[in-house]
Amino acid sequence: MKSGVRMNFLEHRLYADRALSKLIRMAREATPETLSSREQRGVFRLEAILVEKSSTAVSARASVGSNFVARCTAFSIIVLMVIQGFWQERREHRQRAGAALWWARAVIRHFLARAFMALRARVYRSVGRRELRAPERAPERRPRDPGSIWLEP
Amino acid sequence: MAEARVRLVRRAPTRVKADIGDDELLDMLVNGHPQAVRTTWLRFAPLVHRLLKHALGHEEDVADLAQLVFIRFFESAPKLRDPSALRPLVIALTTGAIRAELRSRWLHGWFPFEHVEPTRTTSVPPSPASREPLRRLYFILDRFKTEDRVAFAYHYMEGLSLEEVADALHLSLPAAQRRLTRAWSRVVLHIERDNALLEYLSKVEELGATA
Repeated sequence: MKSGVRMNFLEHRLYADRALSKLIRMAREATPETLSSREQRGVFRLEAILVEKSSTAVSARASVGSNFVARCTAFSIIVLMVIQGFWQERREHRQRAGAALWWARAVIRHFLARAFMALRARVYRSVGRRELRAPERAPERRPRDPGSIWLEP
Repeated sequence: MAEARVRLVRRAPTRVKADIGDDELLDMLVNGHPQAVRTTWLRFAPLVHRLLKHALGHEEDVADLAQLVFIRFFESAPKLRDPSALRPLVIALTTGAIRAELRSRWLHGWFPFEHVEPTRTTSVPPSPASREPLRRLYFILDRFKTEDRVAFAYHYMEGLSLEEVADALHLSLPAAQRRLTRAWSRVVLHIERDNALLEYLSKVEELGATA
């Protein structure tokens, strides 16, 4: 690098480019092609792991099978309980309220929903119209004509 | 009294062939040959270790990650049909391990729930002169996205072909090319701004020239 001399942009960029190539070369040199003796010994550990895995695989497979069935059963029982509770609640509620009251509520709810939707549509329409409307402009000033009936705003 | 002589005979170590073809290796893996593990290790372990070191930049977890890659390899290799897919499979599994490691590092950086041992973020190169520049290079690479970092390390540091990089990252060739170009220009930009690194490299260069 030029010391004390200001490098121009291109020179700087070229220098950085060359520096990166040098860094990559350094990284390659820092990582040897062959394994170190410690890394070579990794194969013993790998063999031990694989032997252990293969010996436990059979029992694990059996336990996985039984686990799967147990989990599925538990999940379906929970789902059935939830559904049953929901229906029971609904049935009790309807029995308490009575059919007539239930119908009355349904009709009121229906009309309220329609009224709300109509109101909402009205609001949206008015907002949309206001936004789409052209901006108000001041009327052009015309020369005063004493003979006309045009009035100044 | 007859002395019973017990002679302990050490079993002669079986030779493992390193220059074995892909077809033969796949046969060994499929049939569960006793030498399959060692042969595979001899064949692919240097590649896996180099890829991990280049991409991660430090050597703490490399041994563990290499074990993980090989365990996954022995699970999936017997299902292969094409013997030429062995090397791409190793590279893809290594890429997966690197991605998971970088993701967990990022996660630990944001959510330090577990106590993690402080790790050295640099490799330990043989020459002390290259230690500081490499530390700074990996500091720059730490800011990159995982894919960019892996592509950069694989292509420029390890020297994998563009096709292999694209295959490992599940990209098309033009996409891999774009990614590499972008990564290179970004690293150059960061180096340009790092005056200390440039000064240091120029000093190393001068020393090398005078030596």
